[in-house]
Amino acid sequence: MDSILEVRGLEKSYEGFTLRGVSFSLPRGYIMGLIGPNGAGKTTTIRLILGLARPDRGEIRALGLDASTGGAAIRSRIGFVHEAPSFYLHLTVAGLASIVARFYPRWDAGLFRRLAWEFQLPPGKRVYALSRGMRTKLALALALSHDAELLVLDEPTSGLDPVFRRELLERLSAYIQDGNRSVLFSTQITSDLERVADYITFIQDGQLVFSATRDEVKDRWGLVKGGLELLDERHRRFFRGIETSAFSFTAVTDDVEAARRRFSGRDVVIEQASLEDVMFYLSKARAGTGPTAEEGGSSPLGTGRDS
Amino acid sequence: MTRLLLKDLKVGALFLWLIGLIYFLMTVQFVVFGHDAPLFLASIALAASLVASVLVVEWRVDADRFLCSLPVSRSTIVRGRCLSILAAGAVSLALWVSGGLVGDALVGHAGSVTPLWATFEGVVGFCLTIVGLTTLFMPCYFRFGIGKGSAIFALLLIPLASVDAAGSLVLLRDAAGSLGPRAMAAAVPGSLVRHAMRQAHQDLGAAAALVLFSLVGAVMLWASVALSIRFYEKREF
Repeated sequence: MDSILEVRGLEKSYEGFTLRGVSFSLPRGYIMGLIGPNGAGKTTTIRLILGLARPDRGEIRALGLDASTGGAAIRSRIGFVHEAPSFYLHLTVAGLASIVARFYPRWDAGLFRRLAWEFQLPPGKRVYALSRGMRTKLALALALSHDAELLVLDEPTSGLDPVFRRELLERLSAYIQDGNRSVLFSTQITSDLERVADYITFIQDGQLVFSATRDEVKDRWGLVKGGLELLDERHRRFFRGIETSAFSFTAVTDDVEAARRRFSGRDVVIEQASLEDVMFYLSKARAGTGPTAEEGGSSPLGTGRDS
Repeated sequence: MTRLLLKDLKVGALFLWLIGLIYFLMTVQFVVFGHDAPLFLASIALAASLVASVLVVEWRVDADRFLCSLPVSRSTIVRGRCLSILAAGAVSLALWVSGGLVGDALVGHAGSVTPLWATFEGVVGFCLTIVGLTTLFMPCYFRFGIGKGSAIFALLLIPLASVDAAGSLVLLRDAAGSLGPRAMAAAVPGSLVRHAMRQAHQDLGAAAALVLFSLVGAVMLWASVALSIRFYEKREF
């Protein structure tokens, strides 16, 4: 499959944070969701893709070009929305668009006007007078107005009202319909991804947990609920994350078929794990802390898998 | 680069009133006091204010991140900024000369001394002062950003300005025996440069001196831009 974006062995170190060996591939015509808890490395990954920071190691190829040498050429074909868009506040919406337009050879002024109208962005309104959500809409309008082949959106749905959020997701789905364009967007709102993402890439503590199709994630990951007496050491090691209460446990596994075999005939409930479940249990497991008995009546346990 | 220049014009348009204000003030002081030295200073200050106003706006909105996410290379951003600074210098030069002409038409020359804006060394000295300041400022700015960069630029500027002022005082004392009313000229930046230019003008002729100083300016700018690009490419946003 023709990849629009390929990330291989990406590494970047900052004080107190290291992105380690992140690899994934986004084919043309698909939407990939980048998920992970706060500080997982999502924004760092996006900054590296856009050339706002330089990787210590690894390779990024976007639109067939090497990002280390073709930065400007790549960015001319990418539409980018930052989680906190930085615009010239004293300029009007139209004034800002006229600055941005000069940098993109395929800028479509008519499309921008239409999007601004649809997003209820008055052309004469100054940027400082726009709310955070409206600024995100402005960033989206700018990103969508130059026929970008790849949209890179960093937490685009935070700060948006639910109505526009859903509208945005519909737009993203429509955007890739020609099979030539793709979207990479990071979010913590996993329900957004369940709605539109074809691929899910999960990063935690700077490391890739998985990068797979949404269907693979659905098929592989499951929640297992049962009595605490079933949870011996061997089973504990099997699960990727566990939460226990006084009498029962809930655990997440990335091999639901193996879980079915393992607990066959036992009194457990095995169900499909949502992305939020996966994120929640993996984050808990990694942190090694969780709600105390006083707070929530349960205590998290360690994770790990046996071979 | 022109896209970046136009961007700076648009961003800086908010502060264009500075031009009118400083133009008015410098013409008034020239008419009232009849001395052209402050005109020079005011024009340099105008160029610095125009540049600083755009940079402060950009710093406030974290524009580096915005600019670097556009399809433009870091080296083009540096060259564009250099072009914008030189454009601000050109506007200031035009205002300085025209301000001088207007003041001169109103009150005539101050004494028998040819005003600075009407001399070869005055005009070329102005250009070289702008180029010198740009050369020094750009690597500081692109390495450290506007806040820390300006502070380091100021620290570098203080010894240079002190040497220039001291040299100017010596030159004036040697020329006139005592400073007297010409002491004001010691406050005009680039006195040593202008002295060197006057000498070159006398020894080589106007055309050769112009070529020589243009080459010096070009080399300084080239080195500054090259260093700034190296610095800026290492910055992360």
